[in-house]
Amino acid sequence: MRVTCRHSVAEVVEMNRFLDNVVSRLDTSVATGTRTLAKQLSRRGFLGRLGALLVGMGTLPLLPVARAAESQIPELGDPQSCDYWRYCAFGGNLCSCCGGSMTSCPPGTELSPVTWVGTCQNPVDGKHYLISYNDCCGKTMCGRCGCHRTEGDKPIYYPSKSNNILWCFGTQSHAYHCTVALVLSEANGPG
Amino acid sequence: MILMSAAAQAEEPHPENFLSEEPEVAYWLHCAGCHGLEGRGIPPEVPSLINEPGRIESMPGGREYLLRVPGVSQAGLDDENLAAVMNYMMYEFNSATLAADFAAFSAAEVAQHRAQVLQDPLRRRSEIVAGVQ
Amino acid sequence: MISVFSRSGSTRRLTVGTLYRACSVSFLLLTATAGYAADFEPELGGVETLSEPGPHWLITMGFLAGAYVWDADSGEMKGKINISDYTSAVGIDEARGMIYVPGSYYSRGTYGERSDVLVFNDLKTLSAVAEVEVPKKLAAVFHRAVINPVGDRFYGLYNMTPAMSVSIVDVEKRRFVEEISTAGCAFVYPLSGRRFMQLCGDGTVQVISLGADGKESARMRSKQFFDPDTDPVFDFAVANGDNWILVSYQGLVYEVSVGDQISVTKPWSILTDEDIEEGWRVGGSEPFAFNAATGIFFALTHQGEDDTHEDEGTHLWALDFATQRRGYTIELEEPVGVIGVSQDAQPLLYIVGGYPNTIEVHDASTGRHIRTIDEAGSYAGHVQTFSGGGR
Repeated sequence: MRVTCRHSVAEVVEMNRFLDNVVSRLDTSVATGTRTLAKQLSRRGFLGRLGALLVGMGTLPLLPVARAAESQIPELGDPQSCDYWRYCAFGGNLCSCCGGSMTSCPPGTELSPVTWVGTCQNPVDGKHYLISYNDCCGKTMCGRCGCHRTEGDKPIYYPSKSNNILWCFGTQSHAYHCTVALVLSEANGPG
Repeated sequence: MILMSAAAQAEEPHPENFLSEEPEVAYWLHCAGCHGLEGRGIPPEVPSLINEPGRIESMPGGREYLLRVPGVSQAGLDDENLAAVMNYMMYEFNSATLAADFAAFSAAEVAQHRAQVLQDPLRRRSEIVAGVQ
Repeated sequence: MISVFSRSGSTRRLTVGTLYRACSVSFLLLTATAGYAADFEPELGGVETLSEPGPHWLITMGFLAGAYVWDADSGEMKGKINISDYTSAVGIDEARGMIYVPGSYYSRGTYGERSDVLVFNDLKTLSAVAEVEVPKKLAAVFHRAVINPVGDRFYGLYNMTPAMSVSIVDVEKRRFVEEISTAGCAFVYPLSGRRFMQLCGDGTVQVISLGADGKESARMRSKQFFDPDTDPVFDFAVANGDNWILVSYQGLVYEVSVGDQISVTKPWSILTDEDIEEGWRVGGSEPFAFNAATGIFFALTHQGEDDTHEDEGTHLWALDFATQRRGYTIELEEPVGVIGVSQDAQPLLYIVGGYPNTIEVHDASTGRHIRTIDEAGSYAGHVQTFSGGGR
């Protein structure tokens, strides 16, 4: 299981559509997962599969203590890796590799008030959480830790579900730099 | 060439209905991305949901309009849950302008109006505000 | 004095005598050819201009990589077009000899004062000759259909703020006409009769008509024909004359034609039952192309699961659009996201991929590889072809 984010420059900078092809480097073992499990969960349920595998493996390192203290919920995994549970519908560069963190923008960039909200499943408590993917804007693209998870991705005419739109709206500059992943709340399970 | 008839709604549960029992959470998932957690929006491009919908609801044609705008009609929520989110939005952000006799949206009402495509929402909105029926 | 570094690194000064000897040798050489040297005129540099584009010319553009003009018959780069960091596509107006570049610019590159413009570039000189300011709303989505002609003198530019709208520019009078609100519907796909088509998030298409003044005169909506949640159509439509071909994530093919009403054909599947069993899917950035003259439809495919619609293709399938049968398959040496085809009757197929990009040029009728164009920019999102010989 890939934990860290080690990409060559060429891989990191590839983006799909406006971001061009950013390909998440998941092990095929994770990618093949269990389709039946995914179907029972939300369409962001990829992490359901990941969570199941992680519980089985149990060998991933926990976050450093400092980070764990910041998060209100249990954490497991590396926020600098595309596989990280919060990034299940992530498209872009991880701010955690760019001088920011999974919840903060790098210095001198602006947190976009308009965002894309999805749901991911936490591998530790198994709960689904609402994740807000806010862009950090105003500088050229960070170019590191590019991830493109297309689970549930829809075309641009369905913008609330589309990865391919630059979500820097309502900012001074719509230059895309990187993306954070903020937990908004529990999703309280499938209805 | 065959003129396509309106596609039947899917029989199985709508895949977008990843649903919380909390309408607030559903609002966050389906609406807050653009309209903000507190409904502020970014006017004029992203309408504010604070007090404005309340005003519009009490105008002739306003209630239907609120259910027909693309952000509502195209939301990935079934009729019942969309009604719950709409009511949450009205009570939470529009208490100052909500009519005293405001009747909560029902699933049936949502179903009826969201199916009627609103081709030019901006134009319709100005008509309503101007009192055109 | 001239200092000369000897091999050991210490300096040795040339005496004037040494210098004289060195120069005298040079002088001898010069004088030996003095007769020729005296008649030689130094070359003066020039600047190329483009000849008239042929049907095998194309433009590729990549994210932050600029726009390139290519001649696929010679395999040569013809020139580059200045674009902004947010320019997704350009308008090619061969009849007027112009290329229109929509762009957003900041006064300090990535920040500062923003201005959105449509820049008029002369096609011969590939230089800006005029610009028209447009609302600062141009959609920052890397997509082909953000700019297209509507009728013979207007162009539509797609905006997102995230509210969706279209800015209309009169390219004859070179002025902004109006912004048309198109809430819930995206892009500009040209139709005859000064109209354009859009794709809508409720599973329909919308058609907007312009009057002679370029302002909206009417709009209509189709009935819902696809489910945007279970099987949306790719937001990349492919032209078939005045019709538009749409393909869904599951490989269903629809054709939209617009007369007085909007008609949509019942879909047929690119994927056979066997294909589906074997996990074949369509996917890519610009994964489809169609040549009306030969009736061949092209699709990028790969084997994968749900939600892999943006995966690059490992194979290219060429189908006869009328019979819906597969003609040939090209197994790609490396995965590719973008294809295009010329619009003439001896069409060339363009397969764009790699880092940096290469454009593989194939004979579209046979699939036979003709040439490779190397170093073709990077991160190409789509191909735009010239029709050749004006409109």
